[in-house]
Amino acid sequence: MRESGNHKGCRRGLAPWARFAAGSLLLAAAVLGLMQGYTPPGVAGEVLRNNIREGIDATPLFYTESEASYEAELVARDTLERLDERADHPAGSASVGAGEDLARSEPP
Amino acid sequence: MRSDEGISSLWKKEDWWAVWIGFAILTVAVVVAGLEYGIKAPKIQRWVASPLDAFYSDASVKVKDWPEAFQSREALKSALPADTAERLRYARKVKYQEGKRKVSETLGFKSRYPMSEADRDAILTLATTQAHRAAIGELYEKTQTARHNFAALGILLIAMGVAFMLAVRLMGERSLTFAGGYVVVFLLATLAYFIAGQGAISAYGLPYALWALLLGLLISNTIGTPTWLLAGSKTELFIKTGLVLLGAEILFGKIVALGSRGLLVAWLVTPCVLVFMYFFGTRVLKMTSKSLVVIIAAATSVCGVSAAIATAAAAKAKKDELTLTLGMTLIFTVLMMVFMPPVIKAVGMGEQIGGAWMGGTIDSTGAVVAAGALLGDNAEIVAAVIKMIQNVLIGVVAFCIAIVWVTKVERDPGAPRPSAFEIWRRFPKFIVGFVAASLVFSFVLIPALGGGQEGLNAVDKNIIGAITKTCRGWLFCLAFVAIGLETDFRQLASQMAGGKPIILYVVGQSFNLILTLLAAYLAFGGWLLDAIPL
Repeated sequence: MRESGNHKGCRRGLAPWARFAAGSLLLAAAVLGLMQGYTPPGVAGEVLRNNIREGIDATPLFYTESEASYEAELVARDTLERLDERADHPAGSASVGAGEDLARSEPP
Repeated sequence: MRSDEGISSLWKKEDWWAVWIGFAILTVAVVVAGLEYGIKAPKIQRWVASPLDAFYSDASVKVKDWPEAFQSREALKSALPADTAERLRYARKVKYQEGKRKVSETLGFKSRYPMSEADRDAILTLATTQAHRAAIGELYEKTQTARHNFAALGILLIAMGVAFMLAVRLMGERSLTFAGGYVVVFLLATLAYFIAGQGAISAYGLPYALWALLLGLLISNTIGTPTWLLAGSKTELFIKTGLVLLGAEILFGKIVALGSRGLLVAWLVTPCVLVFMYFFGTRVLKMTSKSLVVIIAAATSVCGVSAAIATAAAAKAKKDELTLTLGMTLIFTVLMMVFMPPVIKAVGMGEQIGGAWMGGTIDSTGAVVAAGALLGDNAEIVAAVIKMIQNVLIGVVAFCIAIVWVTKVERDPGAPRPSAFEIWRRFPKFIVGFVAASLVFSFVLIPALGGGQEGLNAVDKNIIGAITKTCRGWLFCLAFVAIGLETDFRQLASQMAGGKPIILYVVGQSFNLILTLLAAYLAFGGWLLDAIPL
């Protein structure tokens, strides 16, 4: 990536350190505030309340960082395989019914 | 010929070092997986009330048929004393073994707290079989020895540091000066992970990338980043090495997880949105920086932060352009995570359609899973898989953008068409490593480990899951700290002049929402393809 031509090196004097201290306090206050788990009332807070209640981590950026992603993939593949089996053997398939859904289910 | 061209570029150019270090990590991961010692790269654990919990991993045991009544956190909280419930966890995973689908269940307990006899007795009241009681006894024994990861973090710091010091030295810079700055950057990255790992903060979907940027920006825009710290902030080396590791996570076998439905939503819509946004940004908004336009377009259309990083490196964007894009993406990701599920419920949209809509538009996997979880199992499954299929597109997008940039965007309009050698000379070499890692893992390693779902699981769990994804995360976190340390708020403000980047994002995301909704109805609503039976 290209350089942005920014100022480099330490700035002299007390003012920069005062700004650093103020910025650090602000950041710390923001972190401590967020840790309290406040959620907006009503529908705006539903997802956040559910995340906190169920311990859901909403920070993964890529699918490999999320266990739920792996599980979802396996269920999806399993469902499609069973649909293919039903299409290939419409009379004989006992494991897939009209009411089947994608939700996780115990193996037989 | 320049001194860094020719054969010597293999050890003098940063791009090539990203490839060597990246493949060294991948090789170590494959060898370690083969030895089956269960070694994993260290990570900062999720913590709630006690910060030190972040540095201790859980002790765990396998169980079978754990009572359904006690599988959720809520159920454990109501059945056990508060402290015991907070430290105990139940996890259920589905996997394939020898071609058969199997469910594995584990009970875990935070190893920082030795389980007391009172804890053990309380948990025993939940057991319904002798096997459960034996597992709880085994868990009790395991928790008597705390399992912290301070040593492992130290090894990671040193191992990566040595690799980068060697690279820096051979590229002609002072490795000891780098080392001093690198240690501080690593500590700041650890702090970023630590903040992001707090329970409520992780529930809000505020990832390590955000905190790493903020910590770097705090220093650079107040006291200024000292020269010795800048020497350790090898942003591009960290990012490019991380991207080579990311290549290994782009497994092409994943794209068929939802068959043609997944491809319709994730792979047909995405390029349309990307191209639309690029032309809207350059021709309508007339934004002068094409690299800024393309990384906003990639972040919006593909998958947020990861796509922005890969595209920024491929298009040689400025660091503050990446910072701006990440900031916008992260804010809108949280907003969409919060507001899309209630909208879907309010209009009575089907779970799978809603899941596909969210999976194709919300920019991070964690936010997608969280939003889907509120709607139900089917929404969560479809949303997560659509997002996964979109993630795989990063490889294709980054490669195509690199080609377009070298052959068209960077080209002087009056100059003759570049030769193949010239294209190769200017082509970002780390993209070669990125693509090579993806191809090797997708088409060589997975077949070698059994092929099909078995091979995919082996690579996912033992190689990527155990080592490479964690190392990749650390590299990106180091990079974000470094970007923050090199970014000036004034530069960021100048990028935002006229509000064009945010206009581009909003218009592009709106187009993405409309097109993805249409695709979701075509794929899951029965308009084109049969709906999956519900």
